[in-house]
Amino acid sequence: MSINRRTMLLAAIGAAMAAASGVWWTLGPYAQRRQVVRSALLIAGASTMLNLNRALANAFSEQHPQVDIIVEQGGSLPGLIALKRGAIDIAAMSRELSDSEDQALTRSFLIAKNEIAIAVHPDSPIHALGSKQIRQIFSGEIRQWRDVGAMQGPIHLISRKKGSSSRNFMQDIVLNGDEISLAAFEVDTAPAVAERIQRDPLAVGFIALKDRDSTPLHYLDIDGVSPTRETVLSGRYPFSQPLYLVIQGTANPLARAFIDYALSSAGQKIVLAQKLISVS
Amino acid sequence: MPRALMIGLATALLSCSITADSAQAVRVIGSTTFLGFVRQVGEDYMAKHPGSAIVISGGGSARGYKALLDGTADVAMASGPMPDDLQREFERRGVRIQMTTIGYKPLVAAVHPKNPIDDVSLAELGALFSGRISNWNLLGGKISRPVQVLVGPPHGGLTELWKDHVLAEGETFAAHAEVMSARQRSAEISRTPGAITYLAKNEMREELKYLSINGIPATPANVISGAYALVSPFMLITKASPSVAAQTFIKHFFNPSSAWDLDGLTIAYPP
Repeated sequence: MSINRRTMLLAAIGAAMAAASGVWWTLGPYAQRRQVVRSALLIAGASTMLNLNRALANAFSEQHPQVDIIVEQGGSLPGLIALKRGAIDIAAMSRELSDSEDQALTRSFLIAKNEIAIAVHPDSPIHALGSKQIRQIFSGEIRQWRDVGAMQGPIHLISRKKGSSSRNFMQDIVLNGDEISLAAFEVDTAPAVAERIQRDPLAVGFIALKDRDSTPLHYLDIDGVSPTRETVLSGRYPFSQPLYLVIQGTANPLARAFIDYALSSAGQKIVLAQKLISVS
Repeated sequence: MPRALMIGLATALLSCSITADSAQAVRVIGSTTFLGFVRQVGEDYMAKHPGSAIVISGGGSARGYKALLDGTADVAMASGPMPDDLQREFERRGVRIQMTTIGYKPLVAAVHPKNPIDDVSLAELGALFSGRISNWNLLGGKISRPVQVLVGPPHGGLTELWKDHVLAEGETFAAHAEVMSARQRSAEISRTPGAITYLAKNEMREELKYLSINGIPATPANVISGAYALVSPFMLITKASPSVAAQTFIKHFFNPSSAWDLDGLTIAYPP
């Protein structure tokens, strides 16, 4: 699957570059008159970062109307490979680089962090669980509260619908790629999750920090660490994920300018608007 | 190919690019030996400086130094001297750095509480661990008792450090040395009269006996003064003129809160 995606990605990039150069040559004769120089920036990688990168690209293009930015997904590793082959300018990676990937000319800039908190009813006697217990609960392996604590009764799982970024995060990071149990009750929005849990002492669900509203829920400590902005930034809270933009070498000032924009206060506002944790 | 052209043309954009606005953020990358400790200090700092961001990740000392060179970290965490090749790279690029020693994690030689020996020279310690001294009576113990050497897994940071400091050049641990985790070693020492091992300060158990070396015990004062040399230093490294936020964060380590778990670290005197 990853090979397929990569092939598709590279094909898309090839087509994009051909298109970009086509535009360049077409504009050529007029360039002198219009004094416009087009340039292109190709960004590809983690699908988790697609919306963020698109939003950053839109805002960046407003300031740099002469730049055509193409944002693709395809996965962290294919993105990195494409970057190292010179096929793209910036790779988006939703994990840290390994030692062998972090070569002398590779530079990875952390631009945001992603996280999820596990919420229960404010009266629930459960205040802390291990990450393994959370995996067992959301995969449907544990279905009774007494298997993780003192309370009697079945566990009522509340999930977001397929396609929700919170649900994807649960499946990718918390469940290590497994699907959420089919027994889960699915709702459309984060406030709906909160509302449902507030009405049901046996319910448990997941809500990103940025989606928290005034609904009085209890957010569980995971492996002894409470979910806060501080524990996510320090790296201690386990259900969090770093989001990187990676460049190769220093030859491409446009790529570096895009990363500087992502880290600027304007860029970090976009990070917040995407319900992610700002890193500056 | 237009790509080369594109890069050249894009240079023009530099003039209007926006510089990173991270006055409040400090990016910390490096050694995993003290990662748990630094995370705790980072959270404490953020709680006391609202709006600040201390963003921490591990990866090892070398990754920290590289990130500092790359400009992807403001502070590198390191638990030993800088490797020569990185030192050359810093020099080659003309990057000047500032190193702050935050503290030291002492390593101590542990024996059974009934072992009559209290003190050894560094040379004797090396001979015990290499197997050249194979019986405690060679050190003046009255009873003949074979020396049993317990060591940590190879490539562990503290095992490497012990090897470098204690064994003579080119020597290896005794062939009969048993490899165990720190927890297993301290348990084994408490029930084996002839055994010897090394433990970090946070792995020490009350009931064991710890040897002084050349007459110097691993007290905090001896560790900080450098008189006791079997230590793993913990350093924070920045470029020569760090941001105010990075400086303030580094200063925070020298006001330890009683709530911090120092994880075996003895905090150094403030610079």
